[in-house]
Amino acid sequence: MEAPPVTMMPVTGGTINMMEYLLQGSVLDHSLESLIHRLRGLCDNMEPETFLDHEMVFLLKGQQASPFVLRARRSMDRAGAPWHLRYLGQPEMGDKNRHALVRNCVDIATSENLTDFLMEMGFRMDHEFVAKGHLFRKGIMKIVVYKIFRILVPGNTDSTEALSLSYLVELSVVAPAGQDMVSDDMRNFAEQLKPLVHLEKIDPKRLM
Amino acid sequence: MQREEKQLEASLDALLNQVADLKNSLGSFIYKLENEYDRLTWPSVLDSFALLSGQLNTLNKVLKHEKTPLFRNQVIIPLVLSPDRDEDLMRQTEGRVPVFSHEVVPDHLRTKPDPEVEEQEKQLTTDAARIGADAAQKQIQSLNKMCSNLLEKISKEERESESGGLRPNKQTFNPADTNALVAAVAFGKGLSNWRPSGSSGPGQPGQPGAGTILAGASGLQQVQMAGAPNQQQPMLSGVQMAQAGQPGKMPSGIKTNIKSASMHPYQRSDEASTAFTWEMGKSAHLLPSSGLKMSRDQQVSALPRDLLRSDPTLSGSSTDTSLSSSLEGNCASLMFVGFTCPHSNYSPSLTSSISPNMWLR
Repeated sequence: MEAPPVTMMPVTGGTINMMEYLLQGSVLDHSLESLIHRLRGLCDNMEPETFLDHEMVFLLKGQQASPFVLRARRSMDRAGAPWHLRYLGQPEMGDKNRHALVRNCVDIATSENLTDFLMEMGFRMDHEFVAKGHLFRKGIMKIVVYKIFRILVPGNTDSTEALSLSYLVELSVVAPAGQDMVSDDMRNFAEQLKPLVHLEKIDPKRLM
Repeated sequence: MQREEKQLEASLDALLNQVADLKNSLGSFIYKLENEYDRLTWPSVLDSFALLSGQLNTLNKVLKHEKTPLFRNQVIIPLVLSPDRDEDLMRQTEGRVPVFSHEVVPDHLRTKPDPEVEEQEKQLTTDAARIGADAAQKQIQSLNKMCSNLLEKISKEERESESGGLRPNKQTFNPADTNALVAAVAFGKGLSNWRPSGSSGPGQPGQPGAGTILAGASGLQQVQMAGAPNQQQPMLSGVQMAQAGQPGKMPSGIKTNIKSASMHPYQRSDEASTAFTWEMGKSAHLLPSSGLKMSRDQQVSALPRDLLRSDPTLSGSSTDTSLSSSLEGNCASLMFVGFTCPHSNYSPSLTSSISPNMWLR
């Protein structure tokens, strides 16, 4: 299923075999406070963390059926933070025994000339958006609650517009391949957020 | 009398056994709390509690048993008080009571409350006696009513908070929003509203990915081009504009493109447009009046830049008109063919027909 460039890529550090387990849901704006409150109670005791990111999605179209997609993300509220380049594989729904969506995942921190580099390689930007929200952790689980803003003028992150009246909620774990047990923990955690938020494994292909 | 005494003894023994059991389990529980508090688990604490409560229950049962005589009717009289240490007593009380003196006896043998408490209790009983039976009944009823009201309120509150403080009609999430947001992060659905409506997400390759800022203009015109071959000029200027955006990088970029025209795996649609331009430039050179600006970029890959500059036909503003006129006449259809062919093997005959000295004329 993968486009060839990634399988031919030199593998360093063994990161290629990491899988991301994912559950998704959303919460309406007016219930955000309750959710944040509950998450603060459920998650590791840490300072509440917020983020404001700009994500750009780049495509490399080959002769293959599906283009190769890379996601570049930069923080807009932390100057000097490295950029984040991410490859996500095809999501697998799996069977009932696995309670989360699973996809291959490679994360790399990069310098800020990442977009130039990608453009030189032949990537083209497909879309971009601004994500603003809260981050929580519980063990290896990561919970992000964020709002997606569409960018009105290409490249200008100052003029944005909220995509919907809800916040996206994502519960994810990055683990080595085959660690399906983590999805049980995720399911248990998701149960505790009901009925405020229903975190489910959502097949994005269904929404195309 | 004999029988009663025996019964008393038996029940005292039972009582002693129960109390000893209770004392043992209390002692072990306290020991656990004091010495194993760091690895004590909540279930084991609960177990200890359950054991204690069971033993207290048995003790109560023993006390309330019908065969058990009423202990309160028994009188204990201290016969001897002594300020000296009593080893027997010491052993029996496990070192808690060393002497049986006037100091400890009132506490240990007490069967009645303190005199003040006794006084208060007496006061209460006289108060209760003064109220008539009817009034008492009324008071009891009103108290019961209040209690039941309070209970009802509390349980109602509990039920409401159990459902998360959320009445079922108050929604906290919207499945449609979930889908929209997931689709947005997964493949940008509804995000890039400046993308031409004809193009598609990553799911449908083959169409021009014209989402970028630079390629945006040429990408759009490319689409038009496919439908209307007469619009070459805007198309060309579009390409020039795009190339002017990064002047320093052009030569190497074009070189790559020329190679990629045949077998580059990273081939993509807007490279196809450049490759096409190149093709068009060459074809224009076949014509007598070819003062093509477009060909310049191609020659950069083959010729030194100085040569290009010295060639008057390659620069100047008149190129656009000559270009359009020459193209409209002869090359339009050719270009169109070149464009619509798959980029890997477009018009091979044309490419091979160009010899290097044609470029260097």
